[in-house]
This record gives sequence, C-alpha cells and structure tokens, in this order.
Amino acid sequence: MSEAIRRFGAGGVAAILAGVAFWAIMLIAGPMLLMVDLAFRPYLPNPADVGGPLDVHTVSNFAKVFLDDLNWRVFVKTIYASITVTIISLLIGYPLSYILVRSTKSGWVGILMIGLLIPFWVNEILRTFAWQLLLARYGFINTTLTAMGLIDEPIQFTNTDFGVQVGLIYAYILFMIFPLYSTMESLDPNQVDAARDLGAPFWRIHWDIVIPHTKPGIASGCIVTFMLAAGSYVVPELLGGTRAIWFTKLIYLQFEAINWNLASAYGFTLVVLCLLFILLMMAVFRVSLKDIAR
Amino acid sequence: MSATTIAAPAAPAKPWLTSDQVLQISVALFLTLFFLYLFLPLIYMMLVTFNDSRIPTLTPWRGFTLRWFVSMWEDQRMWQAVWKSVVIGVAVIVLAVPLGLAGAVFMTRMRVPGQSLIYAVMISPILMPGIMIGLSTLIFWDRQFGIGGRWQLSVLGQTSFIAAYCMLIFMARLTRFDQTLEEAALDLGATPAQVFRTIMVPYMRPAILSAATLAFLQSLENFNTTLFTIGNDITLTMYIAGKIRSGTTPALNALAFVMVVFTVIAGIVYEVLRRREVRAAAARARAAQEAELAVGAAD
Amino acid sequence: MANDLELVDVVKKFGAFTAVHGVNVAMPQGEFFSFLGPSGCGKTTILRMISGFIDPSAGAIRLAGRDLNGIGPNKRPTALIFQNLALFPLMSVADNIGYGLMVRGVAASERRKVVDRMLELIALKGYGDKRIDELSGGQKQRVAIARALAVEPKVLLLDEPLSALDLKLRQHMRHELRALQRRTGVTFIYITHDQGEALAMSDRVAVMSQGRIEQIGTSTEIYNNPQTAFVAAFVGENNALAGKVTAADYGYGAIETAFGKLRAANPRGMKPGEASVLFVRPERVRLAEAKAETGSDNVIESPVLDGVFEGPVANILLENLGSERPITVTLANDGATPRVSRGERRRVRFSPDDAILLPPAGAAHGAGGHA
Repeated sequence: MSEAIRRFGAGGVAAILAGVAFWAIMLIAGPMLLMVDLAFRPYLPNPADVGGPLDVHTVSNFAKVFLDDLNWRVFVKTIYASITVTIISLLIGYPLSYILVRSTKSGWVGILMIGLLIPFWVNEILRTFAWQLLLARYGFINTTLTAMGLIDEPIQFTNTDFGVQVGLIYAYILFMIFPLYSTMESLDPNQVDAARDLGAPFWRIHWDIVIPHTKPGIASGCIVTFMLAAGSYVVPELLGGTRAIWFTKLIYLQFEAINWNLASAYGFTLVVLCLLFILLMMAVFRVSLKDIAR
Repeated sequence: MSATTIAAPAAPAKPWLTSDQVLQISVALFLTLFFLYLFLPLIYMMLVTFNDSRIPTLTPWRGFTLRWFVSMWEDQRMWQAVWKSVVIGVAVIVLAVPLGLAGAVFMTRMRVPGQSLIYAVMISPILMPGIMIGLSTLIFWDRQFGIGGRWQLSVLGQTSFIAAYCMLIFMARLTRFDQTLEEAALDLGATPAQVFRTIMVPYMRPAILSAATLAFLQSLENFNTTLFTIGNDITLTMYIAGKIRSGTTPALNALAFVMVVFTVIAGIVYEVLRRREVRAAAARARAAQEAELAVGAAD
Repeated sequence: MANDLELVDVVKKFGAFTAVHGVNVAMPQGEFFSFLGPSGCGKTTILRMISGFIDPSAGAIRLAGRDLNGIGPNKRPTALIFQNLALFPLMSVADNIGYGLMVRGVAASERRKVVDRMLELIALKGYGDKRIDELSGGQKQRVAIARALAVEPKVLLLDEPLSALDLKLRQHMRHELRALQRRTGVTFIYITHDQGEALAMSDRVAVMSQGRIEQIGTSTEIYNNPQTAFVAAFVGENNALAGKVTAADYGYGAIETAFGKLRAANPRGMKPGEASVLFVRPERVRLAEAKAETGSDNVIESPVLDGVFEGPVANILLENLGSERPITVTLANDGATPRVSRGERRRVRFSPDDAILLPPAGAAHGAGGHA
C-alpha cells in the first residue's frame, strides 16, 4: 500500500479506493443484498407495515415459484428452452469456429470476423425486430413458403416458444462462438495435422484432440449462452408476446404490480438457477472456474 | 534440368469428387448459409423501409418510397428519446470510465486483503441478468434513499455493469504497462498527479477511448436494466420496443436503417484506423532498424 | 574534496530477507563510482534507495550533508538511467529530454534551449522531432542520458544501462559515458555485473556480494590487491590453491598446498594454522624451463590438460590437485609461444609478490567493508 501511495499520492489512492468502494457497495453489493433480503420478506401493501411486526423473514415468496402451477411451468419451460438454445448454438458454433480457426492463414478470416461482428454491433432490439418481420404471419418466411407452394396456410411463428428460441439463438450465438474460437485458436494446428497424418478419421480428430482442448471454451460458451437466454427479456417480450411467456416476464409483472418482494424472490431464483448451471457445466466438462474465466 | 524422375504412385480410379472437394464445398455451403442467416434479417429489415406500404413488409411491393425516412425524421417523440439516450449515455461514460479505471488500477497496482473477493463483486454484474441489476438498483435507491425510477437511476444501474467492461479493458492494457515509465517520470521530478496526467493518461488514452465508446454503445443498447429504473422517462430503445409491441409503420425501419448504417460505418472506420496505426508502427520499426544499420556502418 | 553522497550503515530488509547489510560508502563530487557484483547481490536495491523508490530499513543516505530519508524520488537531485531506459514511447525525443523541466514548470522557450544543448551534447542534433521507436539502440541510450542530465542532477544513477546493447556498441558506449561524465562533472553511480565495464570506466569500484561490500578501491587496487577471496575470484581470472598457513612474517606467508609449500603476500595477516587460499593471476604465472634458475619463485609441476589459443594470448591449463578448476597460465602471443602437448608434465613458476593469501570465501566478513 505504501508503494501505491508513493506512486499515486495519498489523494490518488484515496480517490481510487473511494471509487472502488462506491461501485462495489452502492452499485452492486448493497442493491443485491437488499434484494435478497426483500425476497425473504412478505409483500406488505401498506408502507406503514414495512419494518413492523409483520415484516419477518419467510420463504413464502419462493413457495409461489415452486407450488404455483403456472409459475412452475414457465420456470421449467424457460430452463428447457434455454438449454435447447444453448445446444443448437453449440452445434452451429462449433463447426463455424473450427472453420474460422483453420482459415486463419487464408486471409479470409479478417473478413469473416468483421462479418460475424457487424450484426452484433446492431442494437439487440432491432435485431429482434428484424426477426419479427421475418417470422410474422404475413412476413418474409411465410410469404416465401406460400409462394413456393410448400404451405397453404401461414405458420404461426411469432408468439410461440419456437419463435422465441430462433430469436435467442440469433441474439446470442456470438457469445458461443467467441470462447470457442479463442480456445480453438490456441490449439497447435500441428496436432491436428499429426493426427491426420497418423490416419485418424476427422471425427476421431475432433473427439480425441479438438474437443478436449476446447472444453473450457465450450463450457464458458454454454454458460454465457444459457444465462443470456434464461435472463433475456427483450427477445421473448417481442417474439413471444403474451403467449410464450418467459420467466423474466413473471419478474417484470410482479415489479409492475409493485410487489417487489415477489419480484426479488423470482429474480433470486433465476440467479440461483444460473449458478447451478455454472456448477453443472463445470462438473460435466471437468473444468475449473479459472479455465472458464480465461 | 533435373534428370531424375520420381515415379508417381499409381493413381486410384478418380471419383467424381475427391473427399477434399466434398469438404470444401460443404464448408462453403455452411458459411454461406450461416452468413445468410446473420445478414438476411437485417437486410430485409432495411429493404422494407423503401416499400410504399403502411405495414412493414416487402410483399406486396407497392413501389419505392423515401417517405418513411421523412416520417421518422419528423417524429418528435423519437427525438426526445434519442436525446434522453444520449444524456444517459454521456452520464454513463462520465461515471463508468473513471470507476472502471479505479477498479483496474486497484486490481493491478495495489495489494489489499480480500482483493479477490472485491474483484468477484466488481465483475459479477457482467454475469447477472440485466433485469436483476435493474430491479436491485431500483429497490436499493428507492428503499434506502427514497429515489424512485428516473433516468439518473438508469445511469447508476447501467454503470454497475458497464464499469466492469471498462475495468476489463483497462486491466488488459495496464498489465502491459511498463511501470518503469512511471518511475522514470517520478525520478525526473514529476509529482504523482503529473505522472498520472503525462504518463498514465496518454498511455491509457486508446483504452479510455475504447472504454468510453463501449460504455456509450452499451448504454444506448441497454433495455433490461433501463426498463426497471427509468420510471416515466423514455430512451431510444424503450421507444423502439414500444413501437414494435404496438405494431408499427415502416418509419421504424427507417430508423433501423439509419442505425445499422451508422453502426457498420463506425465499425469499418474503427477497423481502418486500427490497421493504419499498425502500419505506422511497422514503418517506425523499419526506421529504427535503418538507424541501427547506419550506426553499425559508421563504427 | 567535499563528500557528495554518503551511505551510512544502510540496511534494507524485505520481510525476513536482508538484501543490504550495513553498507558504508562516501563518494566525492564528480566521481565515477561503480557497484559491481553478481545479480542478487543488492546493488540494484542500493540504487533504488539512493533514487528514493524504496527507503532503507536502517541507516542514512546523505547528499551534501542532507539526509534524504523521507524525500520522494521526484524531490531528490538524483536522476536514474533505467536498465530498459524507460523512455516515454508516446513522446518525441525532445519531449522526453524536456520532460523533467516541463514538470518543473520551466517555460517552453527555455526548455527548448536546454533540449537543443542536450541534443548537441549527445550528438543527436536535429533528432528532436523523432519518435522513440524510430531510434537505434545506441541513440535511445544517449537520449536517456540526455533526459536525465537535462534536470541537472547532482548524482546520475545508471542501472546496467548497456546490458541491452550488442557487444560492439557496448564497448563504444563505455568511452562515451566516461567522456560525458568528465565533461559534465556530475557524480555517476554505475551498477553492473560486467567487471569489464566497471574497471574500464570507474574512478572507484565497490565489489558486492550477498548484500555486503567486499571491497572498495580503484580498478587497479581491486584487480591487483583483492581483499577477499570473493573479489579475487569474481574480478578477472584467478588461480586458486587452497591450503593451510604454516608461517607468517614481514607481510609474507607460507601455505601448505597439494603442490607443497608456497609463499605469497599476506596483506590480511593470516596466522599459522588458518585455512587459506592462495590466488595468483594466470598472466603472472610463467612456464619454468627445465632445471632453470627459479630463485625465490614458487614452482609447481603438473600435467597439461589442454592448450587453448585465443589470438592475442594462449592459455595452458594444468591439472590442479585437490580442485576441479585447472590452473591457467596465460602467455602473451609474442611469437615465441612454446608448444605443449596434452599429458606432458610442465613446471610453472610465479613470484610470491604476485600471489596473495586470503581467507576462503564465506569466512567472517568485515575486513575491507569500509572505505
């Protein structure tokens, strides 16, 4: 610390510590802890009761997640749909990352990378809007399919879980590709060539060499994609409408109803779910938090 | 001319396509489909702007028009929302960049007990769903200080995670910082404040610019955190979301068109500038090498 | 001459590790002084204490009688040349040289005059607008020196500044540094593990080992009259013959070695019965012709292990009884270098005046630690 004071001066150190303290306490830890506290207290419509004898710690809010049939179904559906999104993103992202890594020398990779990034520079809402236009009842996909004579009636894509999942994959697949790409890039290409030279078929090369090396990237890509999908609000809101409801929508509805306690409890459940998913991924891929964070 | 000839191995019967060709074709097909998937929605969304139809669709084509740009331009509510987004974005830059820098200096240059826990706290908002950040920020400031939803609260909520992005950018650059430069400046008589201004800030300038840009874009783009904290104010993203939900005219596509074009141009300019800087550095390295050779020749 | 810089019983501890054990040095204004020692001997720690980046755990550092303790590096009249030079990469050459003046609030016009003078001093006139990464290694070196001298320091500290340069440039920069020091009259404190640099440039050298000063003296004193076994072995080449002192009188001593009894100078006054090492420089050992008159010279006979021709000199390596390090005899290439063949037994001789008896390395410290 004295070293730091020598470098930055006492005033500089004080400013740095004050900034860190304000950020960590006032913007993160304080709000989070208060939210957790609220989640374990009942909703009291009358502000006068807050802090009174009725304001006790309870798990009643959480009972609403697990015992209420609708809430429970939405919760499970969110998990299931998010896992599907994660798996499909992985199935698309893995070969794509591999192609990108293997084409590093060809000079194409720069253009491909820019091409990959441009859609993600565009506002998430606009990207979702674009899909809404494609998926709408008389949107691009339905009119094209009808014109080709493949379908007679427009297919209902919007306001369905399927539509939401399509939008989620589009919205977050880059977060799968980047960790995959960066871990694959660190694989010595000679290993792949050596395996091929020794006569390994291409699926064995992947199973024995590329996938084991890419494990941390797969794990972090899956974690991030899952968390973004499960925590997404915009995409289900715009593509799912009132029919395909996401768990985040339940949180928002409680927030709108000024029942912050229940909203907090739902939110806390979501965060715990994400943590459990991280632990699951670490167990499945046998990687540590350190490998993932790289 | 070489006199030796190498006997070629007997070629097997040539199939219609070699396995290499099959691979190349499937790779090309895969890439084409994938990039079509990436760009088709955006291109479609942009093209729709030019269809003279009240609902945003390309079919049926009712003729070319630019009137949706006009109607977008004349929308006062949109301009108000843009203004609010810019104000919030600038405020987020002002708050998140210094906080991120403080966090990065704290992590890279100081030793404090419990530091890794503090780091975990600072980095945690990146992994937190945006609506949770929004909700917790609202609850905290409302319950503790009686400050309800308003745009200033959105600034605080967005800053909590955008500062973490800034911190990561700064940390990446700070770990490559040669600390003897600071020592040299101190040794030459600079005060700590002067060292910070004349050595650290110029060194960090590119990172500060990237962080500020990222902070502004993240703020502009943010929906989830803002939704819970904004109160009765309205930002550009909120405005767009509202339009989409209530069904919209292609005026929204006109807005999307402008935003996408801006984004792409900004991205390409950034890339060109970056490559130019790389080339300039290479040129200077060549000059240094020539100077080296000149000295060698003079000796 | 007034003592410019003084280190009095300076100690530096890092936790349980003591990097510097009670160092005492005083150097007059305008001296070129070197700290010479292997890496980890504490010389860089001393430099950082003088420049103010770390404080001594005990003892005092005084400049012109003023205690520097508690004065930050930016307030000390010392300037440091960093090992990696630490030139500011984002500033021009002129801005680098003028930096110290700029932070002192010197006006731009005044600053430019000093910068121009400095550029002239280092023979880089017209290079002011260049960027640092356009300069060659030697040019960067000179800019770093100019940047330090521009603030007119009382003491210039140099932390192995030549180590990044290639051999030829390093030789050249030695002369340049020495000339620059004479021209400016500033006290130079030079840190190096390269004895060639230290001996060639310095007025005086302090040889350090494990946080202690082993000896302080001029280059010739250090080389010709080492006070400790470490100095004898570290500075230049030396032959070492271990044994036990059998007699001591009138500044000379006799030592019983594996080659029998040998006589040598005994400046440390070693007493009979003490373990000791006899050191003799390879260039002071001569081949003894068979049956030739050897007078009072010491004579050793041993098989030849190898002969190594190096151009200006030739080295003959003889087996050293009781040690793995052979005895080296260095012969000038005067056109009459005798031929030796491997395995042949040769007699070599050296004068007791050219040999020296010292306590073995690791024996009690203390002698010669003070200047």
